[in-house]
Amino acid sequence: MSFKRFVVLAVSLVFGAILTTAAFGASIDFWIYEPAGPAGEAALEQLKADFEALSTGNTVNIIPIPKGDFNTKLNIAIAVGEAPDASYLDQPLVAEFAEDGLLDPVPEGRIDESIFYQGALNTNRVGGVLYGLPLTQTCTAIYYNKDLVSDPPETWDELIQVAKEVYDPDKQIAAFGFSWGHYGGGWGAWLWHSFVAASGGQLLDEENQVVSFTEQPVIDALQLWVDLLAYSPFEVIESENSFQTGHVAMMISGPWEIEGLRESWPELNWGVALIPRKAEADFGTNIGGDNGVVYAASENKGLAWAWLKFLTLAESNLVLSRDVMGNFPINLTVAKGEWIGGDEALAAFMEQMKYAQARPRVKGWLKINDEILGAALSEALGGEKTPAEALNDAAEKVNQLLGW
Amino acid sequence: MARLSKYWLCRSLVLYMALLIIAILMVSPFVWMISTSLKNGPDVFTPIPTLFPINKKTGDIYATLENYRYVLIKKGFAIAFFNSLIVAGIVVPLKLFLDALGGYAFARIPFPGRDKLFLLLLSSMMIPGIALLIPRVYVTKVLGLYDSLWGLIIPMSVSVFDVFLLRQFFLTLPRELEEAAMIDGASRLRIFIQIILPLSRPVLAVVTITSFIWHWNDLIWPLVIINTPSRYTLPLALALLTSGQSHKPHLTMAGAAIATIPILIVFLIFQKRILKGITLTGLKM
Amino acid sequence: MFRGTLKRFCKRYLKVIMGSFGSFRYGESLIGILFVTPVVLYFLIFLLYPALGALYYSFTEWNMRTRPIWVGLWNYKHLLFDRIKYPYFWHSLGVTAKYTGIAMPLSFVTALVLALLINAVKRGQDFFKVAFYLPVITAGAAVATMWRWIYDPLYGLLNIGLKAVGLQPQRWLGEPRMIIPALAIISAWQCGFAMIVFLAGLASIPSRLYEAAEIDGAGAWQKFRYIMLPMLKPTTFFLLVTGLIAAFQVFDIVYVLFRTGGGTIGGPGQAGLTYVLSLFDHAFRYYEMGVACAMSFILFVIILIVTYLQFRFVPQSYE
Repeated sequence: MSFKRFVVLAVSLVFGAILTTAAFGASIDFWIYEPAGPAGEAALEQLKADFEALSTGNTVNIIPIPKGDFNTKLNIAIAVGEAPDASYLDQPLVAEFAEDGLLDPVPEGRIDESIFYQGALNTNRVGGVLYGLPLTQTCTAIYYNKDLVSDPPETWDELIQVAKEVYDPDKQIAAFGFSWGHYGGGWGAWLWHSFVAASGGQLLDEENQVVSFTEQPVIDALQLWVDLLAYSPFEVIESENSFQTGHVAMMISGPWEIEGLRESWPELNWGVALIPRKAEADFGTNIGGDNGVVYAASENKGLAWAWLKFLTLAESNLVLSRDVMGNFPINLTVAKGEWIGGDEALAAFMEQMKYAQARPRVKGWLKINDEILGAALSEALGGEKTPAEALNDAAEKVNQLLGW
Repeated sequence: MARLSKYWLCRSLVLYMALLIIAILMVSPFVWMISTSLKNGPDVFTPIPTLFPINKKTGDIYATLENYRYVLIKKGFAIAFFNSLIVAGIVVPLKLFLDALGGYAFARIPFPGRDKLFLLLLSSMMIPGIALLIPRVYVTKVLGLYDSLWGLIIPMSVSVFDVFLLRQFFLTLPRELEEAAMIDGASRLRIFIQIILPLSRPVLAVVTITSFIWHWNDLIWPLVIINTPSRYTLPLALALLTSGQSHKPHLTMAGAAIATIPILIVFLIFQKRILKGITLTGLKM
Repeated sequence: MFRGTLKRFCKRYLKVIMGSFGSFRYGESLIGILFVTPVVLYFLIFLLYPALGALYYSFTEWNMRTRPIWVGLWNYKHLLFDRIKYPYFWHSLGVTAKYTGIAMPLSFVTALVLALLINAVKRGQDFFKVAFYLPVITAGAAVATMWRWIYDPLYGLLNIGLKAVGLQPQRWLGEPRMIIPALAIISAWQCGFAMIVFLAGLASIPSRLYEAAEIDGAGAWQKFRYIMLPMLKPTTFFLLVTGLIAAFQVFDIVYVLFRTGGGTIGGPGQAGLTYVLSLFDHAFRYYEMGVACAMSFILFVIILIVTYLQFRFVPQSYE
């Protein structure tokens, strides 16, 4: 018996119960981001074929949509009453869609919650109810240039120490950079969240409705970036691909860099390390990734859930996250598996993922992230305000906005 | 006489030098696009963009058609190209005719409320398209055009911008020609087709070029109107070529280069008309 | 709610059409109306109706997923006066005004100079027309890559040039005050459309005029001043009006240059956050379609006023 047939058999056993509820001969539309490259496309086709082989007579229409325009299309389709049966959904949107009554909650007893990375699963939880399933996940860690940094820093003190040592204005070598060169704004704020998590802090205490920007760990996290900038001149870190060209010793970014680094910059000697933590704190990072949801208006919810659940099963989730999307699986059994092989970079990210902290799930967070937190970062990093001042002002605004 | 020709020689030399320098500035991104489309993945990113595909390891100059092969045989790309051709092939002539007809009336045929109506039309250009998007999709759906190629044609069949451009050009045409034709008993439609349109070749060429490019490249409208992958147009197929996470410029550029070919052809055909100055007779100044 | 207006509108035009069978003048009117009918129909269905819809949404709170909630003038009031909820409204308006002020004249003059240069030479016109138009045709991603390189602080062409002549290198896309000029230069570089419109305008100038001028002994400057400029007035007017509308609505360049994995942003210090970029964020990143529509109509009023002034004070034709 070939491995594939074994998988199909195993999956079909798991499936027996699910399929009885799904209508025979039904079809669903599933909206997804475009797969990463030709191999990803073939892998997605295979997933669809495998599922349809199990769920005889039913079809899944996979509709690929450019990632950058996905939310635009999705919201317009909903506005004119043309929503799909199921789709990918950005993590921060699950709460908003659920509150609008658009999503079908995960049916009771349909899934085994223990197979998931809890950080990823919790991005779907709104008011204690699950409104979707995580499909893939990602986070940020530190890339470092092994020729410049022999021993990656583990704590913030070591980080500053290393930064001092590698900084070289004559050779135009900066200590610390940001992927895409942006240090402020919404993107910078998302990256910076990793350092807040590694500082032992959090941005909001949603349960008690407290904005935690003014707490010491958060201020320290911003102070750290300000300190790092002293060893990281803007004209170096703003240069395109400055890490790749060897001008930046350490860079915060996600696993999406790996393929490019290996393919386009084979000369570069690099490694991945966990985000350094504050001495007294545990490791931490942010989380990103894709969730799958089923729309309340769908006429084939049973089939839609069966499909989403299929995508979270060990084998198919590995194919979906690694081959189709270039992300990380959310299924614990796969995550522990040998698929990583001896790949140190992937192993480092897999390790980092354990310390992921979900972003705040309050309504309008994206706007707060871009317009208030991002602005506070720009002000502090640009030297207009001290980190404490910038964050105090930001906290005040967020309090007024959220009415806390 | 000798001094005069020396002057002309100097003049052309300076002119051509200036034109050439500007041309290099203008053309280089296009050249980079083509050259990137001929590169292997690993050779795309360099600190300074290279104008030729150079192998990073050996330093040799090379060219590969692999990216084109991948882009062309990729499922859906050929269909997308075909869909785009159909849409542009129908919408551009249709639009040209309707816009010219309207533009002519707004320029030349008086009727009550004409100029006010024109200003009202013009004012619709001043609202950012994003705000109009959802109601437009809704109308398109009500008309039964959602998720069909006609949905890419009918809602795009007129452009106020072009009406305005054409009107401005019709305003420059001498009235005497029409008046003479009218005395001969020609109808307005005949005047329009037999006199006005032939005289307006330069501007009609401009409108053809620009509206072809616009429809050929438009991403947002097909994105929100089309759900069925077999009806995707080229910009959609292109956007799908590279994932948001793994950036592959060599594939994007190969796709973009293919998408550019029809635009270049249209431009090369019609640009000739832009400079064919027409000699008018009976013009009063 | 719009039905009344529509009815009155239709009635009036029906009357004109019915009445037009009488005299010759009305016959002319009828033909004029027939000629514009397709355009007007399109306008009613695909422009006016959506515009009225957007106007309605601008008085609502609407995330596109649930029913719009009527909030009256709330969106307008808060956009204009609430600096906490909408901290970037005035900022983005300022960015756009600054961009328009720099980019418009720059690309206008560039387009005219390029058209005149092409018009002045005898050979190779086709080649230069294609060459100068290529920036419009080239894929946005390629344009962005090249300009990001030109502006790169370490390896960029511009800074290498500045260093070569002993000047201080700049952070073109890094320092907030440099961003708008940097964007304006790109827009001037992409002036191919205005250039071919100018060329078409020049092509429409009857050659007899030049011949007559030459007989009178006019030089190149006189020909430009007394023939080309006046004859280009309708063209210029068109380019002024549409160029301004386009500059006020600038979006693409910034979107391509500063778009990142985290969404759409306006670059360092939000210095490149143009009005329509901000509007796009409100619509499709923060899901405040009501606010986005209100922003649209505020911009509409601004452009309307400016365009009105242009129609009032800029000559439209040479007559």
